[in-house]
Amino acid sequence: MMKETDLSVRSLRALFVKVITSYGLVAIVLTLMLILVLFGTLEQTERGLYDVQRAYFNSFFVVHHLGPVPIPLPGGYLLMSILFFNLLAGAIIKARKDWRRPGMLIAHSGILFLLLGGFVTYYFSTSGNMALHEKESSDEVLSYYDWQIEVAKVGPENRAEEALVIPSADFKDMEQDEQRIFYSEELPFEIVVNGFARNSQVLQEGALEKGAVRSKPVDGFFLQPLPPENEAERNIAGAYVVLKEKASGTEHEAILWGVEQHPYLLSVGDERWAVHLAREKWKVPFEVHLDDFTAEWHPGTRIPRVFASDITKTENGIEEKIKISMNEPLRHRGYTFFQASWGPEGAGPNDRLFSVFAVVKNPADQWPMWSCWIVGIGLLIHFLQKLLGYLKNSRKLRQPA
Amino acid sequence: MIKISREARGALFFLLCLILGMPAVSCGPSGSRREIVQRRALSESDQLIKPDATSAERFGFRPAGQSSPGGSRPQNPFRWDTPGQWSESPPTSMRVANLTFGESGEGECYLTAMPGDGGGVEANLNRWRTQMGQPPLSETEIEKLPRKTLLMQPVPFIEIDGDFTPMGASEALKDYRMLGVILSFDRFTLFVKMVGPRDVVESEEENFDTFCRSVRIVGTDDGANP
Repeated sequence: MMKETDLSVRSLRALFVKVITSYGLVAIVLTLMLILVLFGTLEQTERGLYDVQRAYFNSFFVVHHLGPVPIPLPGGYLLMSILFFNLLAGAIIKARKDWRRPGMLIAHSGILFLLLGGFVTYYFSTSGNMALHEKESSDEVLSYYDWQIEVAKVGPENRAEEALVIPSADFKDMEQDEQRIFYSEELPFEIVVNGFARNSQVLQEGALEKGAVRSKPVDGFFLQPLPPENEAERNIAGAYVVLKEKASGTEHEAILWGVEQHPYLLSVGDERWAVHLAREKWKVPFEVHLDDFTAEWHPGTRIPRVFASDITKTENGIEEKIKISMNEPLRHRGYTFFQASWGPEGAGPNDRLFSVFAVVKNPADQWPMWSCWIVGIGLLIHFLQKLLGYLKNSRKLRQPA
Repeated sequence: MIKISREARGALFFLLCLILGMPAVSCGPSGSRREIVQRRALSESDQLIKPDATSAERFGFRPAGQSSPGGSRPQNPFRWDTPGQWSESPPTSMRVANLTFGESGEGECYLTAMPGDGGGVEANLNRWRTQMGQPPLSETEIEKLPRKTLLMQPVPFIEIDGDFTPMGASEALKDYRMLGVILSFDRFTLFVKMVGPRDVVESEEENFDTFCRSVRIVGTDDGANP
């Protein structure tokens, strides 16, 4: 009996190894990737790049609707994971370890490195933007997509030094009718988030046609959820919150909106607290000062020829003058500053311009380029060896017997 | 008969197990009570606190009745005459003029001003038709629409009967009627829309014309004159 079990485990293990290293698996995965890319690309016309990237390519599982027919598919993350392990296992177990033919092994490692770069980017990269008017400085980057609720104790002169932060990950998955409670020992109240809208508009009572209002008014205003924008960075989040005092149980209802001009203020005893919904914000370890922004177009058109920002980067008191243009980003300490856009739209010659940098922190930023070099070198070695072998054989064949 | 090798069957089975198994392990953190653990030092750009800020100020609305900063002229450059039996409601962020009529105010007529082309005349007329459950009109059909007068300009006039689904609502209101005109300038577009139960709107159609003819611009600080 024991022997039979051992045999069956061994045979299962053998089958697993055979499957995970098989060409059949890689053929299925690549076919599914092809389908996924096709459906994902088509879906972008309806849902925009950000949503589709999350739903189709950063996921384990996706259901694509082809008209009324739902088609379940493995997501891009799952497929790439399988491909990675297939290549890794194939290289370790199946591939011939012929060190006289290193080309294929090098190329193989290059592809693995590329996939690994994808995982590192997925888990460790952050991106946002920094907008600066000419002669302005900043070391803060705003997220494109993520919002956070900040709670700060208001000090003298209506200033706050530090905020407790409820990160986007804690509430962005909430449905509009869902409730979630956030607490801290430092706070004299709990924050009950009553639904979160990824995109929303604050309107005055009576602004919409009768029957259209989908939320309750608070102090003459209500938060109207809107369908997400195709360009996800244009979404303005909003949430209803109830601040429930711990001591008395008194409840204060408020609307938080992503572009509100002032935080909601709550007085509890002698203390005042500010509650604010804002884009996630993070600092870079150096300051950027926009000295000058230049925009040039091709003559007679609105097609950009050059957008360039002359900046001064200051770090530890050391200043450095740098030009950031459309194809020449600033790369420094793991951060990349790309010239993304500028404004205001339709600005005249005397208008004060601002420049917008897309800021990306990605430890694997350069890995795709290195992967290409590795794969290229591997293939070059391989094909050179093949060519030399062919020439050698040809010479042998030409020699008289 | 297609033969599938044992290896290929295994590969398919492996994929299937992963697909079915992943939803179970890919769920995020759960629980309706969560402790706040993150904190952030606030910078100068975060100092937005304004004591006693009203909701209107927080959300960027001007308090009712407040005039434009630095000038004595009113913020709203439009004027109109309210027809006899109609009631006027306060303007909102979207509606410059906000009027109701009918026994219980079930009919509405409002003037909206949007910057630029507001999405375009054709698109807006067809959006209204869709709201009333009617198919869109072609460009030629729109060109053939009758004209009314708004700000002394001839403008396309649309009348639509059907079931009205207000913006953002999930259920349609039965047997409604909508009248509308759109006037597009280079810098802004004006919309007059009247909607309500069919019999109520039918009895007020003359007042719709009166209202449209009465709309005028009295000037503004921000140069909104066409």
